[in-house]
Amino acid sequence: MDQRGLFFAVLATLGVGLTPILAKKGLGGVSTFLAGTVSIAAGLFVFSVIMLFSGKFRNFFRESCQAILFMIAVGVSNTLAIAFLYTALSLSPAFIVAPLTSTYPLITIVLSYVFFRKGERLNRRILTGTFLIIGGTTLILFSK
Amino acid sequence: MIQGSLHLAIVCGLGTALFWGLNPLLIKQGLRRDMDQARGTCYMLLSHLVSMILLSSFFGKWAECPQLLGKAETIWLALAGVSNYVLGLFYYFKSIPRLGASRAASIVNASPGLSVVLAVIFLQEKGSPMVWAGVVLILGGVYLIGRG
Repeated sequence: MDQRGLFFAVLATLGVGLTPILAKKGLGGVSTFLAGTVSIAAGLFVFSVIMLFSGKFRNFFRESCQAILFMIAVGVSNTLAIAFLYTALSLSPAFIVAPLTSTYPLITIVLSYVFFRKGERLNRRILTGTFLIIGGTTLILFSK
Repeated sequence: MIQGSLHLAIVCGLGTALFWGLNPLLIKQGLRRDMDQARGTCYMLLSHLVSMILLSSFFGKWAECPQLLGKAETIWLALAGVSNYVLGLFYYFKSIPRLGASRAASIVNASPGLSVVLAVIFLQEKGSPMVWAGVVLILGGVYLIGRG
């Protein structure tokens, strides 16, 4: 396995894992939507500053239209996921919703296999690992 | 619980999983076209912010804005945003071309396990046996994927 890629994934996990700890201190009675919007705006601001100092804004609009559209789709997809999550949690307890939302890596695996069969290697270890992670996440969310 | 509500909740829960599951593939497609990862993250954050603003307006949440002004909570939310989007999302984007969408997604999905450990350390929370069992499963899963 690509060690550098694994390192990046671990860093990403650290960043995402730290988020609920920080967000918990900030959720003082405002809705998740508003809190989420503040977090995104702050992240975007800091990210933009980093990009400005590293000169990445220089060719900001020179990326291919298709690539830009895909990244915009990711942003909208994230927002829709939050909207569905909020709706689900308003209709049903978390112990029903949580296991369903935790299955998203399986969806990624299935769609990856369908669309990127040649590029994505799947074996028993990866599938077992994914199921373990989903099971573990579900247990943690159930406990809440 | 009304049966219809339960069905709708299940559909919405699966809808959440669908969109979260789709994201790594969209990211992979976007980065495939030689898009710079930092710029890609920026495009994504911009569209996420605009759509969240629209969604907040739709659910009428802007009336709560004054509650955030001049409060320490706002700083914590901002730090959460930096952690999630600058550290988390950017390095997630960097990992996808190297590991593949499914492996990268599976590893980052282990973050609830890490959150549990950090909550114990920094928030002095006590995890139940079920929580620690979940953490063990997650660690096992990450180990297997790393060896995969």
